[in-house]
Amino acid sequence: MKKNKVVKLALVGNPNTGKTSLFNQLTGLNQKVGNYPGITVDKKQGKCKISEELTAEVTDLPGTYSINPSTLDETIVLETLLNEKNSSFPDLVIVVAEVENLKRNLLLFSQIKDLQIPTLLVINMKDQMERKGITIDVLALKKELKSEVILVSARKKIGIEDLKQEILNYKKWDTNPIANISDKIDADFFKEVKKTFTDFSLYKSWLLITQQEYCDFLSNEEQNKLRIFTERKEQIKKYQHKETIYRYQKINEILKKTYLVDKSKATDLRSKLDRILTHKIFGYVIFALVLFLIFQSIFEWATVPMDLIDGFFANLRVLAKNNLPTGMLTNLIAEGIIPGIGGVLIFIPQITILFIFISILEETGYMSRVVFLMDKIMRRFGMGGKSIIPLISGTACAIPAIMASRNISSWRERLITILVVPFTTCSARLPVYAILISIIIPQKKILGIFNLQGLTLMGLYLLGFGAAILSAVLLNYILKVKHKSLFAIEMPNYKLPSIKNIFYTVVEKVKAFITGAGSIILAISVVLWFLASNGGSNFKNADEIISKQTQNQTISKEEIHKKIASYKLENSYIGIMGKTIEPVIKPMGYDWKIGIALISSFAAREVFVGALATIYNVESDNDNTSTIKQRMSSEINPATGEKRFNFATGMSLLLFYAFAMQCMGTLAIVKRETKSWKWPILQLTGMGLLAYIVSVITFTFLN
Amino acid sequence: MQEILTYIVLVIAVAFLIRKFFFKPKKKGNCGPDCNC
Repeated sequence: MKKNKVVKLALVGNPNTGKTSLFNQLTGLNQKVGNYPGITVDKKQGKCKISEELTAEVTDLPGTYSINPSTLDETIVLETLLNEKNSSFPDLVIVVAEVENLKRNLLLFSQIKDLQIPTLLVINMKDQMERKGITIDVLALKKELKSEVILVSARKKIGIEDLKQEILNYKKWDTNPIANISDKIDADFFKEVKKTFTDFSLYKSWLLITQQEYCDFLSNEEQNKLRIFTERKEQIKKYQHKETIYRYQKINEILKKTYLVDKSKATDLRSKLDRILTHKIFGYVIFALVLFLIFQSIFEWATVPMDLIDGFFANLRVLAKNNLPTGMLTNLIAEGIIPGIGGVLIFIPQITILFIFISILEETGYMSRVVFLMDKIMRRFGMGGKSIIPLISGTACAIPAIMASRNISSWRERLITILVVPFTTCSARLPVYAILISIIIPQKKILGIFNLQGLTLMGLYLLGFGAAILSAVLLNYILKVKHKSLFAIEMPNYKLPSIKNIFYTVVEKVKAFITGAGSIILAISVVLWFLASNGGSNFKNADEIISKQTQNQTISKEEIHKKIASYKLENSYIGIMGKTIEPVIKPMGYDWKIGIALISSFAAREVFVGALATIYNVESDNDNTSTIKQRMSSEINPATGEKRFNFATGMSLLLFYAFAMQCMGTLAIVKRETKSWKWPILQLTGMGLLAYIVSVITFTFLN
Repeated sequence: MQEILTYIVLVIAVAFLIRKFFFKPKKKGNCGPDCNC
């Protein structure tokens, strides 16, 4: 009777690759299988009869993306593969990869292979290859990876016998490393590593150095050797980054020769959906419809809560004025602070709705398809594919969007992206657009379904995006970008959005709006109120001057009171400042009050509404419970007797905000990212000039 | 009294704006050069 030999086999792989399914097929043990992370938290072991002579003791290790651990589960994998004294230290390793995400899976495989333990690659979900339009040149892949490669379908029991046959020959497997990290990173450094750790393979030594905190199993002598490298933390960190980059480069090269995805042949649901959503015509039509739905909803659903918030603050203002003791502080609270806070909180419903939609698009995986679609447009206009991420992120806020441009390798291309991102409509423009649209665009429906206000808002978003693309084309021509960076995006699977994730995203965005912009708006409201409530001698003697002027006229006390309030505001510090700049802004159709709000909103665009609310409140009657919107709608241009915010002025303002660089935070981040004042200044003047010219032309034509 | 409190609020608001836009403090923490934390 032949003696049955037992070998230790470790199953390693990324989460959700079907590793546990393969474990079941090999061992026959009934294990729980799922496609959510964290199912395999402990080592699971079972026996597999490979042949009459060979039995494998199979250990199912926790799912991991690499052997650089970031979680407790991943440390188990590292320790098992490094510690030869570990009872589960394998004689051979099977790395389970998933056919659709081979690139990511091969990172782990290449690391384990370099440990020079006999390693085999199993590519699972073979049965889905045809449906997904995937073909693999297995022979070429074996050659490139210097390893045996077996295609299986663990769920359908395909390829299991082939795998067992291959395991029988594990002693003949090639154990040479595939990535020559020492030459690619720092040959001298690795020479020193090799000299220090003569008993280990080079890659194992390198892992011990990088993962020292998990190496309790080493002897004292080995620990002492490791300490030589402890002080070179920065250098080691840098080399780790280099290693990952090099491995991915190597994997890309290999897959280019061996792995092909032909989406046109794919027949699975995801591929079918992808074909429609990223179609060269339907893709854009669907995206336009999605945008249309979002902007319609912003106006349809936000109107009622916005009016409630606006009305609440108008009543609160009167309540404060009538019930608090008369004095300067009460005036500040009623005319400065309450309208200022109201000017922030009124926009919570719209921001909430916008971010609910954005989160749903991200959660479902649709946003990645939009990025892919937009990449095609970008290239036609001479921009690199990687620019699309900052441009799409810019719809939330230009600051993180500009920071997202860091992954663009070409400096000029990155610079162009940084310069054009502020054109995309950020959430700070939304409050300004919303209030102006609700004043100048009638709330009516076209063809019974299309809300005209929603359409206008969508038009402004598209205008911002169009301005960004056209500016990029222009800058591209001026700066002459020769090399476009390549763009690769891993499309996530479609999934139902998690309500919890959406809730957290929306809460975080609303909180950031209230605490970030809100604190600035509040502080500016206080300063504006002070400047509007104080002034020189004309301001102080306003009662006397108006009384003298009206002594021979027969006008009511109420009229006289209004005249005094107007005279005071015009002669307040802010009135004097506003009157000074009025000649410059008059061609745009603005009076000095709008001019002050415009200058104040240079800090942040959202300040515009709060600033106007403060200015109008200082001028108004104590018992006036008008909302911000009503106040703006009823403001009269004394020169024409018409409404101040008529269609011409409103459109001029909308276009000014669409093009102007009204954000100090963005300028600061551009300065930091470009390490020069030249670019933010160019951006400020260029966008400012464009906004001014467009506003003047708009007002002149529409008036 | 109301006047004093008003001026205190005004000074706080001006100081806040100056600090926010002209003397932005560097935040502490274990941040690398590449992050905005």
